[in-house]
Amino acid sequence: MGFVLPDIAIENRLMSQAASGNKTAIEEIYNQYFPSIYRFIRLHIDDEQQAEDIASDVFIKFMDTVGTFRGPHQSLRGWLFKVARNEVNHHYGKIRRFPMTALEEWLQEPDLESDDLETQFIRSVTVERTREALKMLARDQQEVLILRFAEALDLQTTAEVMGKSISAIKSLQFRAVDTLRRILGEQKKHG
Amino acid sequence: MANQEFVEALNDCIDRLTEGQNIEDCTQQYPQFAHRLDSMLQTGVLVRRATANQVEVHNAQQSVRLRLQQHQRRKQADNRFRRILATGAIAASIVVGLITMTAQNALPGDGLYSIKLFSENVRGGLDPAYGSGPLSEQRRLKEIQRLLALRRTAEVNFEGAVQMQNGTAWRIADVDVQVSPSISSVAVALGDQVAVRGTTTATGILIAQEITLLVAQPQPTASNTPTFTITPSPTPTSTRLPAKPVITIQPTKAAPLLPVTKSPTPSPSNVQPTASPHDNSPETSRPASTPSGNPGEDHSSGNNKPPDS
Repeated sequence: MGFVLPDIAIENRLMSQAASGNKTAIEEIYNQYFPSIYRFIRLHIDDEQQAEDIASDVFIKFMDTVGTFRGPHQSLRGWLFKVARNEVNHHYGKIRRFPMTALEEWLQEPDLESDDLETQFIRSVTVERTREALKMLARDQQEVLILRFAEALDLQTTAEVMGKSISAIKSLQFRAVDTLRRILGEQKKHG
Repeated sequence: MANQEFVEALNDCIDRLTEGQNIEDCTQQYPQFAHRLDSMLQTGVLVRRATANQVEVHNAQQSVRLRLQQHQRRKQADNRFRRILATGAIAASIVVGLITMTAQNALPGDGLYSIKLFSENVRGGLDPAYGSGPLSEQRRLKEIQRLLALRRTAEVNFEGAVQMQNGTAWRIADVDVQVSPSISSVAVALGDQVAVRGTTTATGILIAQEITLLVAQPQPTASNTPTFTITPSPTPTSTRLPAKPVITIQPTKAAPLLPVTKSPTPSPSNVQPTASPHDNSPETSRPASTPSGNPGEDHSSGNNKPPDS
């Protein structure tokens, strides 16, 4: 699967070293976690430059707060994703809604009889169509899919990042995958 | 219920995927949901494919790395500046502390004396009892005693009660004061609280340049010996006093306030019989006619006050 985030034991060691001012550990954390954080941001932000700005803000915040009470203490990846999420929120503003395509126009009841065909189709879906479909999801559905599938965060960390309970995350990820599957199925019909 | 089971199965499969298993491994664990799970997990895997490509991520990482390095340099420069600032502040505090400590031994006329007074004012702001009143006066008096002992010349100010008046030699608050004959002052009697402005000299004496009456001491003779002011026959000499201001003390005019020293060998002719009880004690040197101590009061009824001669 090629997941890039390090093991929790390695993460804890790096975080401990970084907290005591070890520059090599900070550099290692940047190398290990930047791709995941950037991808997470990039799925929310269309503009590459803006995504870079936000990713930069996340790591500046990390460098400025590591070793302090405002910095990460328990889960480094949880802290980084949480900050990234907040920065994305800040980017869009609290009132302004996340950019979304009108989901209702796409969705109809799923055609359960054509599951095998649907699976075959899904395997052939392009990256662009997946991104398009992702943007039709509610924001928390987008996030749970990105965190669980794209960044391979465990259930506990995902719950912490999103500020929800574990059972809420289980339900949310089910609805998110199901909705994405139906959207892609509709795209197939329309395509 | 079946839906809840499926939710749990899906979650388990996502966990297995994050641990490196593949979709087939997972669906085999849940044969009753195999088709549906396969479809949903394939959909989930698409999300990973939809993320930014490696080249874009790599370029962004290099770009952000440069920004972070710049930020780090700025932060280090700020930290250096803060360290310099903090070091300067600590050094300044130490210097100020040392100067203030040294100033505590300063005497009037010393360069650091104003710092001593300033630090006392600051401390007095926190502790009013320290800043004013008897404690403050005691400090001033000790300074004067030291100046006199060291035979140093300096201008001094202090307050205290008049304890002795012997011609030009007075004692005020345990300090011997040489009262210049030329100074002007309000009428002062023993026991009065006065403010003294003077100069210590290299010969170890304090010469008063100005004495100001602060609080007049109520005269005990007014209540103890009321008959002295009532029984004597009134004399018509009262017209002499209004012409003489009681506020100023000239050496020759101050003599009535100092009957003991002014007339060490009184002749029977210039001593009133009614005043004789006072002659043995300097404590009663103030005319009995001014029991209130008001300097502006008419002294005409004071038969016990000998006329100048």
